[in-house]
Amino acid sequence: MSATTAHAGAAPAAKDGRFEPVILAFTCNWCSYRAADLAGTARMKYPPNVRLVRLMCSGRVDPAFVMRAFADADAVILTGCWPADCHYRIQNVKALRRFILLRRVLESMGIEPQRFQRFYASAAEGQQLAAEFDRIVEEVRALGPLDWAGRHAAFVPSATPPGAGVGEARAAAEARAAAPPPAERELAEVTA
Amino acid sequence: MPGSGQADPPSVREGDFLREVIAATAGDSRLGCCIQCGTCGGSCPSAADMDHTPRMLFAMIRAGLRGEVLRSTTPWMCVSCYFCAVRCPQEVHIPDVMYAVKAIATREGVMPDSTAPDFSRTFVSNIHRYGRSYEVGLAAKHYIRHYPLRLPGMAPMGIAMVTKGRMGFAPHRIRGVAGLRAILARAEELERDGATREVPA
Amino acid sequence: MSASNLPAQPDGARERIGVYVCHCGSNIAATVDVEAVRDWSAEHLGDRGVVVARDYKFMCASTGQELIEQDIKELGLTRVVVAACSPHMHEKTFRGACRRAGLNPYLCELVSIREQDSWVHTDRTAATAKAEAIVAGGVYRVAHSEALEPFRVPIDPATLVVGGGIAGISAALEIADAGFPVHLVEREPSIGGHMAQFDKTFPTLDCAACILTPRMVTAGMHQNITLHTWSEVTDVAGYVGNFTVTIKHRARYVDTALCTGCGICQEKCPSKVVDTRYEAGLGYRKGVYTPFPQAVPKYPVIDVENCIYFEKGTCGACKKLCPTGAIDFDQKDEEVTVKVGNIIIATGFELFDARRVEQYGYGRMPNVFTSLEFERMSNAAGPTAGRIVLRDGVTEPKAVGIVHCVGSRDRNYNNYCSAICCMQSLKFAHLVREHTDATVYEFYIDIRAPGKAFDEFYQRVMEEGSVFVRGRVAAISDTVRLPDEEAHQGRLIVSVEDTLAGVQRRIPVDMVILSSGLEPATDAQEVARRFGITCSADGWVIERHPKLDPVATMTEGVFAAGCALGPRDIPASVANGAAAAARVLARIQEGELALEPIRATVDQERCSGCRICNDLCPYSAIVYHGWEQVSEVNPALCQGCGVCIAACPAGAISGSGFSDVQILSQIDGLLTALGGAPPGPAVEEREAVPA
Repeated sequence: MSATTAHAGAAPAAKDGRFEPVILAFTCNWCSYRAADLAGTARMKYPPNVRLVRLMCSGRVDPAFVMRAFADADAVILTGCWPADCHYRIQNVKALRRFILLRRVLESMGIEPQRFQRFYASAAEGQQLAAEFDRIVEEVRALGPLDWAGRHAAFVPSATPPGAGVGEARAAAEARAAAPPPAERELAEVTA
Repeated sequence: MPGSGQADPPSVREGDFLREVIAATAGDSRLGCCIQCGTCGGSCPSAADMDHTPRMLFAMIRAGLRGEVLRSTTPWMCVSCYFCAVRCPQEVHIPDVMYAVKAIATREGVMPDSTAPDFSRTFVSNIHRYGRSYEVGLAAKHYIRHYPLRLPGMAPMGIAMVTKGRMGFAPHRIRGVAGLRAILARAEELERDGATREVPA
Repeated sequence: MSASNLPAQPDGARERIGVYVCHCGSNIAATVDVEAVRDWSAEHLGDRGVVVARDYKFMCASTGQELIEQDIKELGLTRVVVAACSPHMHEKTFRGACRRAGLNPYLCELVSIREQDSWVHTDRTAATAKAEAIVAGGVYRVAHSEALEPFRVPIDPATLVVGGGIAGISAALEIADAGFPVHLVEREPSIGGHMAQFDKTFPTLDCAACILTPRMVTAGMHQNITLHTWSEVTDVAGYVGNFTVTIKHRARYVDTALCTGCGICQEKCPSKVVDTRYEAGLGYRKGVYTPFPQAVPKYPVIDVENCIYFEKGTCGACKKLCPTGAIDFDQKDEEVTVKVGNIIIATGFELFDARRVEQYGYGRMPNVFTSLEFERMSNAAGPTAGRIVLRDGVTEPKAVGIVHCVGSRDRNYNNYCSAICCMQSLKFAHLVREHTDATVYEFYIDIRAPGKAFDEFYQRVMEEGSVFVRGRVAAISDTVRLPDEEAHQGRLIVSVEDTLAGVQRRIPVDMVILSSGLEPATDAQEVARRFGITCSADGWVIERHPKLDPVATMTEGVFAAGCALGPRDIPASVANGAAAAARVLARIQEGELALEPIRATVDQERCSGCRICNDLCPYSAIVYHGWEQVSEVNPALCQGCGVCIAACPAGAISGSGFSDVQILSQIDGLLTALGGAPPGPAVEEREAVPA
């Protein structure tokens, strides 16, 4: 890797020693990728930390894609059409369901929720898309590197006897039921 | 007076003054978005008393006519009724810009040839003292200082307003004037430090 | 071409990949070091099969395309990656180049380093690194692309046109004249749209009815056009070439087979109603009515909300007096289903509700009129027989103020310019001057008159003596305030800053006309949803491309024309209608359409018959064969969203164009050399392992 040519995939040039996260964003062909097109056409700016993967629908996102991305990226974003505006009628709601499940799994693996986010962007919302990218990059920057490999090396099976954590788990489940996280409230609304 | 020959120094580049006013305005002024439609000037209850309509003042700010703008009576005649702000199709925060121009003018001691700045000072000192406006005191003080001969002519209207309860003869003091003064003192302190814009909302 | 000319094949790579990096003039090259991306690709992606990497000023130019074609032929490329603009821009272009050189077009991958990189970033180093990652993603992905053939669907020769205004009529006539059937659906009892309400049209001052009515009649009598008036589309199923559309015919309570359009029912009906639709609230119609005398079709409808029979069960005058017995109170709404190959949306606009600008006093002060009210008033066939009078119906105004930009160019209402109001206002000034001796004031921010003969018309109106005041009206009031206004008691005072004089003015007038802006139909979003198209935040239909594809939508087989796309005048609407018709006719003539072969397929060997995928498909494209206990995708119904692929627990469903291995490889490429997955075996291994 020459000094003049930055390495592909390497984190964007760090300035002032600032941490530059690498973030993968899944976009759908009809809304969010076109929002990204629009952001470009209108010369709006967002940080170069975000790299896009274009799929036909946000519902195409296989959890395996997300897990693969986390092997190297610091965060993953899922974007798609607004509910009821999906090019494939309701498939983005299926993506939302998958997202909620997957985020829970990732949380249980110790991945902060800020590292796995989703938002809607219609084809007209280039501005919103750029603003969301801005926000998420800053949030992930504040968290620091994911260091997946490091986390796994440090992972030691719990010494607590089986069942000891049940009480906490139940309390957590009850808390979630009482005040569902935003994505789950949203799912309840769009499917109501 | 506009165009009275006190031209700005040639070092003032066009746009510099616009940037200065935008920076001095609290929040997002949107001053750069003015389309010169005149909705503000048409809506303004004080436009007849201003030497420039608000729209024209904004054009002058853009043109970098710093001296003329600071010496304009326009911001001092603004009564903060917010008609212009409500109707502006570009959502320019017009009264806030007026405050910013007044602040710059006050700081630099560049004033229009008018009694308006002094009126404003009297008004603010009343606020400091009572926590609210004291109309009788304000009018009396202003007329005694600037137009003592016109005072008798104004008396009938003042008496009518007092007798009909539109104006209180004695000043009303709000509760907790001390608290307000502390707030105002802190605001002045922040402005002196140039940190006004960093104050969390 | 001889083998000796070919560069050495890198070890282990099965494909021979060419990488082409576009400068796009300075659009990309200003922010991305294009040469560095080229060199990096040649140096670091060789083990992924890259045998050539080039840069070029404009890859999409014919010379750029020839470069690719030449390399395919001479270097024996089996895959191509172009790093340039968004695939929505030029994917077809580069796929075409590959096809001409004998390479299957789906083995070409266009990755965007313009919209998704150079245009959104400013840091050259970071943007170049990102471009390299994007190219790597494309190279990794394309290695796993498969040769595909477009999916061909037959095109049903019938077309659905939604909206019977001038845009819809124009589209319908073009298609019908070419010899193909058209279903023209209109919500109102008659076709004609807003144009039927106008008196004159700018800038030529043609009589609107004189030029519109013949076209309406032609549409109504055309053997290839089926009119569905007083009707609405309630459901759209299917896909391009093969839509099944359900149209609800609302009950007219008039048997159209018997009705002769004699008009006796309308004459005798005792129920008189203010006509808020066609007469814009200025005139009356009956409970049984045709909106205007030249209506097409000529059959009236009964307005059940204002019919004495439907309210009280009495009256029935129309039924008793109809000479052909055509009145049928028992008629019910009917649904018909039609098969069409293409759809044209021409649902038009609605007028901005001037009540929302409270300081203009519309609805509060009687002599403030909307533009549509004035259109009706100035119409010789309108409620005042063309006389320009105040709301009292008799007094002629001595001064008239015309207010531009009502609800337009205003962040409080609509940000956009409604495009037609300047010219419409100039037309109003001309008409007022023609009919009365009144002084006319035009209150404007800017006069926008860019069309053919538009500025000449502006000159003409000035010469006629109308007064132009540059300033947006601040408020309209009916109370005098200043001592010198006493003489104007009872008139309207227009407050405005005359921005050219720099003074505030209060101008007394007798009548104000508000040139209200255009807004999308109130149910535009709902209509868009029904037809699977998208609207902007303002509510106008989004074009496939605002410049190069202005009458197509993002949805195959659905086109749009007229004000549904945004405010525009009559010539533009007519041109849109004809353009949409031309697009449809080309498809019909072709007989079939090649669609992207992005489809899901079930590997029946792996399918466990769990049926999870069955319910996920919104198109019911997945059928379950009970006797074999496997599912199968019907490729004609599948739209290629890929939800079933991601859901299949057995990994039995694969998607052409967006397969798991393609996407995972692209992710590998995008994130490569981050210290994570070493390039190379990872994907191959995964390929071998059952998902």
